[in-house]
Amino acid sequence: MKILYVNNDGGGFADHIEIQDGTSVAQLFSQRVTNGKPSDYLIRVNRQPAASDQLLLPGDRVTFTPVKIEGA
Amino acid sequence: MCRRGPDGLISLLFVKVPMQSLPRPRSLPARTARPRTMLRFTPTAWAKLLFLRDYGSTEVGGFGISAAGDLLLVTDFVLVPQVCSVVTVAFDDVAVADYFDQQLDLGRQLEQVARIWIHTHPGNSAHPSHVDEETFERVFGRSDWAVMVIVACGGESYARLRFQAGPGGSLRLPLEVDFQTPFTASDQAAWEEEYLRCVRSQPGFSFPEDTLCEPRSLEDALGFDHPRQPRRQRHRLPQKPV
Ligand SMILES: [Zn+2]
Repeated sequence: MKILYVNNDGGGFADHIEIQDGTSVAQLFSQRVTNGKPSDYLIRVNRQPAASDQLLLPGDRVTFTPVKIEGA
Repeated sequence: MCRRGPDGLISLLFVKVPMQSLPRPRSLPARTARPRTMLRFTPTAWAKLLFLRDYGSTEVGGFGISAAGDLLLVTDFVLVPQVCSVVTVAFDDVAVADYFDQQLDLGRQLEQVARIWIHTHPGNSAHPSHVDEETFERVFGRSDWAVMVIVACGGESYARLRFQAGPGGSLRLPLEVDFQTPFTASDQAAWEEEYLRCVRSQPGFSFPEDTLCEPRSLEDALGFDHPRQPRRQRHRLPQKPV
């Protein structure tokens, strides 16, 4: 099935990808993020916060965006 | 047949002429030096950044929007909802995610909207703090490239590019307002609305007004030659609960 996947790491990615049916948010994270912890990102599915065991559905929009952007 | 002599003259067809009087060949451009890598702002984007820097008494931050095909040309400065004090700025995590979604929905690429992190400093120094460096490393160090921009109230500015290519590295960038690019008119009403919608002041965190620097005028910052204007009144930030 296809989902829209968004992640600013590397060259930046915002495109449709093919994943296996029954893939969870945590599995997608481990497949796609090789150098980072889930706590480094706000993970949302269809603009809503997602639990790690949430199963993805065709057409879902999954975004991994940075957290704690702070300056002083 | 051309030969340079020890006396600083060039022998050209056996006629010695001073070097500076040689005509420039028509086929060569006037300047052959490779242009320096610099971060450029359109006048409108720069004016908006300075307006938002000076609107309240806190720091503010946001993202620079790059021109498609010219990623080191900033065409807009966009605030995201944030909590600020005189010496800190912290973006709301959900608002950052919303910002990414909104920009993608506008058809922009991530490299246009998420790589130039801009914030202001209250005093005269634009030097990055250890918090700035930590954020630049932790958040933006995962991208192929990113730029940290700091604009101080007193007019000093700082821009640094970090990149992953090869062994990786970082590079200070000169910062320039580019008047040769197309740019739109200012829209201070819209900028004010954006400020009031996005910037929340951290309660109980303030400095006496007279310890803050006096912002340079927009005309000064843009390099216009003009008579000094009387000190202008600083806008007061409405105190909103966080
Ligand atoms: Zn700072």
